[in-house]
Amino acid sequence: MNPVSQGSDWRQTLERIRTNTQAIWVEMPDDVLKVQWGVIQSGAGSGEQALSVYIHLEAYCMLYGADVFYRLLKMAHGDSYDLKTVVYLTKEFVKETFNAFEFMGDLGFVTLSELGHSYLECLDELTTKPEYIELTSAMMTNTVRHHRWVHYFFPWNLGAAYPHRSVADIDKIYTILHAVSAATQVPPYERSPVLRGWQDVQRLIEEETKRIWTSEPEDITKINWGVISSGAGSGEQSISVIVHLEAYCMLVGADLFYRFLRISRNPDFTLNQVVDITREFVERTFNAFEFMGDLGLVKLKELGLEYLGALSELQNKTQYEQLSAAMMTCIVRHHRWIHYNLPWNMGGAYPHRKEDEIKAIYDVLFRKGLPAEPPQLPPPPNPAAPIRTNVFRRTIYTD
Amino acid sequence: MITQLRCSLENESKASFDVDLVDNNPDTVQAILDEIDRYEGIRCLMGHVVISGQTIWVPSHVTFLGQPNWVTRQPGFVYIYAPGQSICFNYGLTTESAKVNHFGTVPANQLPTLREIGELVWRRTVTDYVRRPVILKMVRK
Repeated sequence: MNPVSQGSDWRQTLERIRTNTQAIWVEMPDDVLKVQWGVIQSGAGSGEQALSVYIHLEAYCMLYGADVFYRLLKMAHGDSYDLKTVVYLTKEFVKETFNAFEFMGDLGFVTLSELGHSYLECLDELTTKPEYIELTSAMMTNTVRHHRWVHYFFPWNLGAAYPHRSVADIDKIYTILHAVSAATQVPPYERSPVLRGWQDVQRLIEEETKRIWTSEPEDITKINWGVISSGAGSGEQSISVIVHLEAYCMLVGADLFYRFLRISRNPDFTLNQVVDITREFVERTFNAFEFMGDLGLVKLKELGLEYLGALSELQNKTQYEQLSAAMMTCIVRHHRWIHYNLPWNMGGAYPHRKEDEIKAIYDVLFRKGLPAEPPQLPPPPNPAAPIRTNVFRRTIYTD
Repeated sequence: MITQLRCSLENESKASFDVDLVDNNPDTVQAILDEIDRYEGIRCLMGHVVISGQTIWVPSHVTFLGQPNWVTRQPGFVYIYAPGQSICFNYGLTTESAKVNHFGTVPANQLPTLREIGELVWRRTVTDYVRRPVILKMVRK
């Protein structure tokens, strides 16, 4: 920590900036480590989250390092601007109205902020443009190096949730939604009147499995675009829909149906018992197929309901096994499509932590000095709401 | 003589490897061969596990209810996760304790290729911003 400015001698400030730059060249600065862990003394990051802090640090360190200071140095190198003018411009761009270094300190880069303040304070001591260039070059390098550290830990993986869209993507979803082309229209689904028996249901399920084996089901394309006709996904978002589909398709297909088939092979269980068990797990109380339909898999829901209806027609366990195996494969294939599309890349924001990493942040926080209390803010003009609804941190309510 | 399967990626150069079928798991081996014969090979988009370490898989239609051959996973082991109807290829790290139904092994000299494919599937289907399919076809050699 360098809480007190020492900018009375610009060469001393220059040396401190260079020393800090050297120290953080390959070793992550403590300030960066704390921000990465979400330890931000000022409390910056509305709603007790750090993502907006990351983004603003990325912005300010990048812009002031690579853009502002670089342009100021270019002007200082040229003949059009004298020392007085470039110093004026530097203060104007960096300090006046809104002090960028003060803001970066609020964002958690305390050392950079302190060095920046010292830099600004000693600008008036400079007597030649070469001195300005020497000092500003050091400040620029330090700021740019800080930016690269932000860039290093920034969870870019979150970009998986914001993919580019091609014309073909737009055309595909438009076609699905508006059915402008009969050739690519979802095959119309016929309900029970055309089905003559459980074999027809099995055939229908197997045809759907074959149809979607290597071609993404239209229902899943719609879900990927956030088109959920039931409205499922509280707050008008679809990540919870995708997570629940991952869960239900995986569990119903690979766990429940596979166990149904194993149980049907057990000679101690009759057909009626196996059918009863099947209905108990996927139909009664909470119908898993209806739920998957609510989540957007409308076609799979219809097939599932036909499957449940056909169970009543079965005469023996061999028929049960044939029908249920077809249903299982169809559900499992749907699961794999959900799995394929789930933005696992977001895991970049939830990394595993190693003991060394815990020790490093512990050392920064407690061995090198306890963090200062955040500054006291004036009371809000209106009383705070009794229940916080805008924070990302989970709150456990016990009553 | 060892029965072998050939696994190839579509539209990828140098991306193929063999699987030596084991002789101590006849039920599973037969189920796999039946699937290959019925569908003229096992062909589908590949996926990558997201919990259990470094394993890739390809979907199948196999509903295997026979006697499994439970073993601890090792790099190069090929197994079927019967509930999920997936043919799985372990190419490195394992972070799950459950044993698996092992029916084939990628020869040691082809493990580097399997690893390359594993890393390709990881990038294409998990870490890249945009998904790009990796399609595998498994046939009798």
